Amino acid sequence: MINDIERRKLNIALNFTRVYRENLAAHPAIREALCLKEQYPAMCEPMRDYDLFAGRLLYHPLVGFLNEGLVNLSIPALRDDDKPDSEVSEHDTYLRSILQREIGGYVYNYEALHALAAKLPADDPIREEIFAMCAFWEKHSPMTQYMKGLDREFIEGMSRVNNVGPAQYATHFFRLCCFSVDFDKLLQLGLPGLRAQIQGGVAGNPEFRRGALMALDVVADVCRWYAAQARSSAASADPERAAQLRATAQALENIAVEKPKNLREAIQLFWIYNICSDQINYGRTDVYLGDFFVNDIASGTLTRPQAMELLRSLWRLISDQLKDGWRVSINNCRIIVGGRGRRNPENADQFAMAAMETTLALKEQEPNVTLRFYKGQNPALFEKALDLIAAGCVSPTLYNDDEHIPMCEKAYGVSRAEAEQYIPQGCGEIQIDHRSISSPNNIIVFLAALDLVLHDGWNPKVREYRGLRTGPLAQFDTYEKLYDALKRQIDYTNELFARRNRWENQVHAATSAFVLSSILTDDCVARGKGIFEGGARYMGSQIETFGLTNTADSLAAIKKLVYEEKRMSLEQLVAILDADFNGYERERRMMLECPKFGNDDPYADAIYADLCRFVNENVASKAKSCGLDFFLNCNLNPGGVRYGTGMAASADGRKSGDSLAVGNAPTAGADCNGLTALLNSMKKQYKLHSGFVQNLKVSKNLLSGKNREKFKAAVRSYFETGGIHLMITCLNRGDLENAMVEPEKYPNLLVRVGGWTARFVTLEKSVQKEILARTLYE
Amino acid sequence: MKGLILELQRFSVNDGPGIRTTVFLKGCPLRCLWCHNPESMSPVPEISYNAEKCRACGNCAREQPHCHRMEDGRHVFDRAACDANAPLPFCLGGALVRLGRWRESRDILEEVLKDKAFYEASGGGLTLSGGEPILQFEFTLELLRAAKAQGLHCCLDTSGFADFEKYAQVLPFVDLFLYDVKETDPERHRAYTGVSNARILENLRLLDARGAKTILRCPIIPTLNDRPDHFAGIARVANSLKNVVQIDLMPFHPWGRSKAHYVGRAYALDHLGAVTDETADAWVKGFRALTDVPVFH
Repeated sequence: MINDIERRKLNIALNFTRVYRENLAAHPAIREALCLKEQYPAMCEPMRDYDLFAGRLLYHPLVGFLNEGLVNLSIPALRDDDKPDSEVSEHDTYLRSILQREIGGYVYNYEALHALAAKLPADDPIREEIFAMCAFWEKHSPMTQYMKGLDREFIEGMSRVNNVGPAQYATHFFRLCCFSVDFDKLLQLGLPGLRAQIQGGVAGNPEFRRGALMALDVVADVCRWYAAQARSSAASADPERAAQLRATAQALENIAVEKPKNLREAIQLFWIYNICSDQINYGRTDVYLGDFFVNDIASGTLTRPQAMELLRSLWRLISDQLKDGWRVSINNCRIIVGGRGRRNPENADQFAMAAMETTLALKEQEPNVTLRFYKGQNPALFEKALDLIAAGCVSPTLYNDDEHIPMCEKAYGVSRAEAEQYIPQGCGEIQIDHRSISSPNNIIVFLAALDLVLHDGWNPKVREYRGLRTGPLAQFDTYEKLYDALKRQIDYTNELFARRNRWENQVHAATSAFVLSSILTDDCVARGKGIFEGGARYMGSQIETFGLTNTADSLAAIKKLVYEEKRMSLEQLVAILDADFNGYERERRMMLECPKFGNDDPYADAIYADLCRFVNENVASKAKSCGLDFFLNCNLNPGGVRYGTGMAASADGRKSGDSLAVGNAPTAGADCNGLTALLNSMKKQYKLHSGFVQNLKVSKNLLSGKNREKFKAAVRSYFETGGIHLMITCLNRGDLENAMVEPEKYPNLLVRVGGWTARFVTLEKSVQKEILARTLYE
Repeated sequence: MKGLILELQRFSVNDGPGIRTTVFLKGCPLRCLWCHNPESMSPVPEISYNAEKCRACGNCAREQPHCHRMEDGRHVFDRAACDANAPLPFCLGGALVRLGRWRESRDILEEVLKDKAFYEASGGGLTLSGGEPILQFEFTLELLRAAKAQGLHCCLDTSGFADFEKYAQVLPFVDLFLYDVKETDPERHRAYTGVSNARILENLRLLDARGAKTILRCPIIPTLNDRPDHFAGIARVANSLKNVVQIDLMPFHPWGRSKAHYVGRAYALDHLGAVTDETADAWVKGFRALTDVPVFH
């Protein structure tokens, strides 16, 4: 039998589906608003005892509208690409042709629905309803439409499944993971102001505006639902709690009909809108909450401790999402503070300090506070950031405006003023705040691309050709020819990505308005169009890249050992890699001893820099051909650890299955020439991208002891001479080893894995080992 | 010209002010019992052998049977027969490593200059250490002169055991001496380091008279020189000089032990453990009553 929660979710899914079906012919914005009305407040959950704000949800809809949903995660056919197509069953081939594991927009969870149906007796009529619902979505869901219309060359060239396994070097998602919306506009105008702006519009489609107004009604209804819930809880609460609940209810009732007047109402409106529109990135919080925060304290509406209590309550709502199992084990909710281009820098700075204090007080993994800074910014912010890092908070991550702003001008093709509104999202993908839309829905592993080049496109594990056939090894009689083949392989892949992007955007435009996000994205309201219909000012795409530094190190080893010192032939080198170094320990040592990125070594770094320039310029050059304003690489994620597990040995000396380097960091442990050497290497990246993450692991001594000033000087100098970003994990020597042995004693040990923050003890062993292997700077 | 370099350490934060690159030169005239860099004593290249890394593959014995052999699956190393300048045999575990490389001073300087921005941001620079850098006097002089010409702040970490004439020659290129005062009692100094401290203290006095800025570096070794009379002696030295800007107490740590074993040296203080922070704090506190010169550990 199914339990009450499952039944509740199922009912919501059935209602949602019915409404969608009834409105198949309606304008996407209207259909979406009607569907949202079925989802909210039906998915809303009451406040918890310690909440000062309402806005909890019942997680994981079976069917619903989300920006990014993780679904179908346990279906092997969608995960494992370990055999040739001829050996894949007809059913699995079918599943692969219609399903994805990360999807956005109309999300339906095939796997969960079928599992639910399997729990019901065969004669239960609800079973038939579930199957009918699945059949409907299999025909109509945007994901299925996307999958069915996907370029065959893309599928056959590289991507059987939505994962990077042993046989894949590239794959794709159908999701929206990097929205950035204008919460400042929301709080300045309030729901009535937004409504008036929409009603005043003349351009575009009136149906879009009608849908937008209906969606705002849903938000207001959710406020009223929570208000009623709070008032009803107040009736049975103790006097103190009752007063809190009534204050919350009053705020909710107010924001349903007028713009927020104080910090409490501002945070409450932000949060309700946030949950209804499914954002995970909160943007420039210090700008949109700064004035409320400062004014309330100045006017005596709140004492500072009361204001801080409100912030802590908001932080808990954010961090509990993860604890409650929303999304995956690692989450990436960003709060951006500091930086150029704020309309209220003094008030924003005060909020920024309060935000960092809150993170320090709670020591939670979320939200991920991100500090933007520039030369001349109030130094107290940077000092506070270092205090947090020294205390083991892991955040804030540090973004240098003086490098990012010029880069974004060029990379995104925007004005200086707009570039000042760059914001890192999620794992670190950069958007132009509430003006651009782009998801890193293309995945490439450069190291696997090199492996294909070394095998003329043949993948021995899956016994099939994948990617471009670049010719036999004998052709590569110079290093340049080999390198050129790798470039062709990458260029070919980027071409396919470009075509895929175009198709993905077409499907979104035809099916979904992302109406609540559109209302807060320039210039959707003015143009009367949804984001994907041409509403967003800048439409772009990104590629999540992996293994850049491993590939550079591998090329360095090949260049040196094969072409310069002629210590082995290319054929021998490939045979050694195919044997995973078994019987070739000496040769492996030679490869390990070749120059490596991360040591300020001119040989290794020059190869890295050239590869970095090629991959970044190549993808950027494809933007126009796929109708985009920008198309950029990002290099952020710990996926390299996961993806490495299926990958053959490589010429940097890495054994089969070992992790790849994370983000733009050197391969774990390959950097052994001191902190300054590492920082110098990291600066050599080619700055034309949507976010490169540089992880750095340092000991607590360096941040809190007598050497703190020296460490600060190193970091400052790095940033003043071209350093773009740093993400610092501060540990005691031995912490990680001890945490692996006695995880129960280290529940709060936070670490950085690429753009992600994680509790160390919750990570897979392979990821733990990668972090352990990283150089600890003392 | 070439110098025998043990190691070049970037982001060095304990050898002078700011962020520095420390160049460790190989070879030292002293034989301090507590030496934390015993692999820097010998003025020629050496082979370091770390038994913990040895995987007993036997390859070294096949390639260089005259100095490596296997006995009952255990590696035996005949150092006397080993030519440390010959190519190393392939070592599966990476247990065998050559220490000391002859390198041109201009190449060293080029590498040092890579971190110039970091020195400027932190008030750091180049530190020459060892070993005893003055032992490779010509090289040291050339490197210091060239570094100074590039505007680098230069520290010389020295035992003080050399002809004063040599100090007089490097003096114009050294901004700050890190000058060891290991033991103020002459007899004990000889017993602990193998040499007398008379010349060392005299050189210090002469340098001070010429205005050389100095940090006194004082290794404090429990049971050997953690004595009130030695502490008073250090303070007396510091108080008698005009240009001592700081006293660094360097509490004993046993990290030199394994490094001594790797190069086949006995380590006299096998029984001693690291000094705790509390003890070192107490030493510093005691010193403050003896001198106005700032004291740290």
